[in-house]
Amino acid sequence: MSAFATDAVGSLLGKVRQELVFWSKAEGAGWVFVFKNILAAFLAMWISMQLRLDQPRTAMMTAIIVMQPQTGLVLVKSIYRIGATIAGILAGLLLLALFAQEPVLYLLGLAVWVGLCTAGSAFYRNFKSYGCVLAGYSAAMMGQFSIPEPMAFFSIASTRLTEITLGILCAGVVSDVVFPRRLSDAITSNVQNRYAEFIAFVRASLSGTVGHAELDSMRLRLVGNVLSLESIRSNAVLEDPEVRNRDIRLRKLNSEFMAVTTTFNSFQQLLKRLNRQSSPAGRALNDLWASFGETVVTKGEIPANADAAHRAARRIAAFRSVIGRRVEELRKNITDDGDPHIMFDFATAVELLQRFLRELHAYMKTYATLPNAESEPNTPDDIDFAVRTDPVVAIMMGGRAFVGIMVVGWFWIASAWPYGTSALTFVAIASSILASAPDPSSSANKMFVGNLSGLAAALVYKFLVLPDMDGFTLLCASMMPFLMIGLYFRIRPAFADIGFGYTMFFLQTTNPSNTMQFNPVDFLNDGCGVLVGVAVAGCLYRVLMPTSGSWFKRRLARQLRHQVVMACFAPLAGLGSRFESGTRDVLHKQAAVPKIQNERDRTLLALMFSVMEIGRAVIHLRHDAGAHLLPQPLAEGVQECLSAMALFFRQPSATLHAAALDGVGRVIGTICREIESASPCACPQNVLNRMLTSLHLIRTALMDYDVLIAVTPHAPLTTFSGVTPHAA
Amino acid sequence: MPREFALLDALVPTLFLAFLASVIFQTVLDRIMGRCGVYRHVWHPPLFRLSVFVCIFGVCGLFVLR
Repeated sequence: MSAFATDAVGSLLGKVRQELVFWSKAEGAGWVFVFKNILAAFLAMWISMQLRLDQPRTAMMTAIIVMQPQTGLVLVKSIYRIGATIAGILAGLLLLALFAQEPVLYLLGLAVWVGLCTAGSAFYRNFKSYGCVLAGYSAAMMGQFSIPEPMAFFSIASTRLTEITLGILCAGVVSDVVFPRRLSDAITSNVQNRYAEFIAFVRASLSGTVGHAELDSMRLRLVGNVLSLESIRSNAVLEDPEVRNRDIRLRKLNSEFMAVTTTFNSFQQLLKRLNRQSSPAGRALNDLWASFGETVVTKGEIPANADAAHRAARRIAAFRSVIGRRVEELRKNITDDGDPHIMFDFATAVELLQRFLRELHAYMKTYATLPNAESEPNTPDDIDFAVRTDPVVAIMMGGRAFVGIMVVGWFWIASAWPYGTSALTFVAIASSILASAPDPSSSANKMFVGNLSGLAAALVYKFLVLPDMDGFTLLCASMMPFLMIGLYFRIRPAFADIGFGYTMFFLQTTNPSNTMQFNPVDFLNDGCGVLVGVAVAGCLYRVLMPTSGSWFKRRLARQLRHQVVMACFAPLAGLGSRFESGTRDVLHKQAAVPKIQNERDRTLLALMFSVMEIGRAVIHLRHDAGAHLLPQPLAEGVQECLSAMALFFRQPSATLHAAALDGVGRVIGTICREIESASPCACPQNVLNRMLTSLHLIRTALMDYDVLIAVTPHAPLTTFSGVTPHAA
Repeated sequence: MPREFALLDALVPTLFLAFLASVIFQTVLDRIMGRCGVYRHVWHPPLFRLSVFVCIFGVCGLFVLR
């Protein structure tokens, strides 16, 4: 009997343990973040109460704003932020010193400053963007308390600076010391995930059973993966000496991965077309591809460490040596078929496949050497990750913040509203924080909902709970559950903005301090002021040039087209990597808008992939043309073709499209003649063949139905009636 | 050493200067230790780093307040 009972208890315990392990894997990291946040906030509150600063809430709010789930931030990065805060405080100080008697001029100055900071936070990435948010926010924060008593502004400024700095330091220390989530771990998991995702994508896109929308979203996930590695890397370089040593290799890894995915996209497009024509060449390529799948994809477990990556690299190398022979055999079989177009496609596809294998091999080799600590001495450092942010869009964001502050400020002055300063501060905070959000208008909605619930929670807490609490320990204990709710929401991506708004608002209105003030009327008035501020910022994001509007999309398309122009003319050194990363960066902006909403968005997406293909081919062409001495007519032809392409992408129209196609066709003709005549020219045969491949790719991509639609919205398609639309 | 000094007529605690100096010193030390691979032999590098900083700042602070 007792034995039975112990068994039952044992199995129950086992189950509980299993559940616990499962739970800690799924939720543990999130809860750790919640508690770290609370710890940082309470630490900031405790120190500021000890130092008798008059607003512990500023330190707490800053700690929570600055805290990020993944990035541990150490002193170096904190100093960046503190610098931004000092800049903000100085700007606020200057404004007050100049215009303390002139509300209109003061508001104008504040609006310009916050507008500039908002534009900066939309323009830059990562911690630079954060710095801009802090600079705008601290200037507004400062104004809120100095306007009523301008004589005290210097002491207020130094107290605010102390509080904000304290918040930053507390967040930095806590996130770095308590259960740190190392960035190098994040890098490792990112690199492993991307291989798995890429292989899944390769499988899905070739099986033909997966829908178009799903494939697109898989592609976008890969793009997101590339950008997130870059963002982690740029943070990690600041903090982790180990990562700093491997920096070049990480950048190389990312750039090689981009190359592999682009080549694969081109190959897949071509294969699809050959299959549709059901030519023997298509069947032959499919066989070839299937054998690749056997060697690399199915047998290859996902390489989780350097050794496995080594093995995978060796397998790919072995396959590469086999494939040359198989291609020759296949080529013999299909030459009887005769159609020169199909032969052309076949040759291009083979070249692409070989390039794909070469690049995949290089990628796996880099992956395998990633854990090595010592750096290779002779790697050329020309791998730049280019970010492309449209300055006009960033300025629009800044303009919006400017308008928001002016509107609230005008209302405040015109109505002599005593709580106008709260509204003013929060319009500034909300605008600058929303500017770096991927989809500002929906974030603004959620933030408002969060604010309302935060106000309700603060009302309950401050007037029902807090009066019974005595001492710091009880203050923390009673505040903790309220904060936990908000912070828990903050770690759920779908509710992050609600959680953020709730927490900010709860702290702002609870206002814990050494001598608490309980004044319900003041509380509600202040709360309304803040709500008005957030609402105005949110409305402006919806009304003034919303990011989901058509203007924004036209800008994106223009930026993409400009990428090709850059590929045609920019200096060649490091251009490949800059092009790939820049295009992906633009693409990621689009991916941030949650769903592909309509036909227009679809064409934009298709344009992006075509742009990637064309740009890469152009860069390859330029590399080949630049590395060898070409015969005069050929060199001129290439130049003409490039400028025709650039013209077309700068100002798309049907005539320029025809001209670009014509230019490409002429160069292809010249090269074919060159090969046939077998003149003893300086450049070797394989270079000419490679150039042919690039040109052929450009031509097919140019004739792509999607490009025509997206680039020239009202183009008469009959002009190109000879072309089969192949991108269904 | 004086507890405060006047920077453009604003009183700044001397400890603040000590803090800045220790931050700079720690950054340099961190680089050197990172390069030498000291952190590979440490159980909790950030905690170690923080402790080193506290030691440096403590020594500087005592020196200032003596």
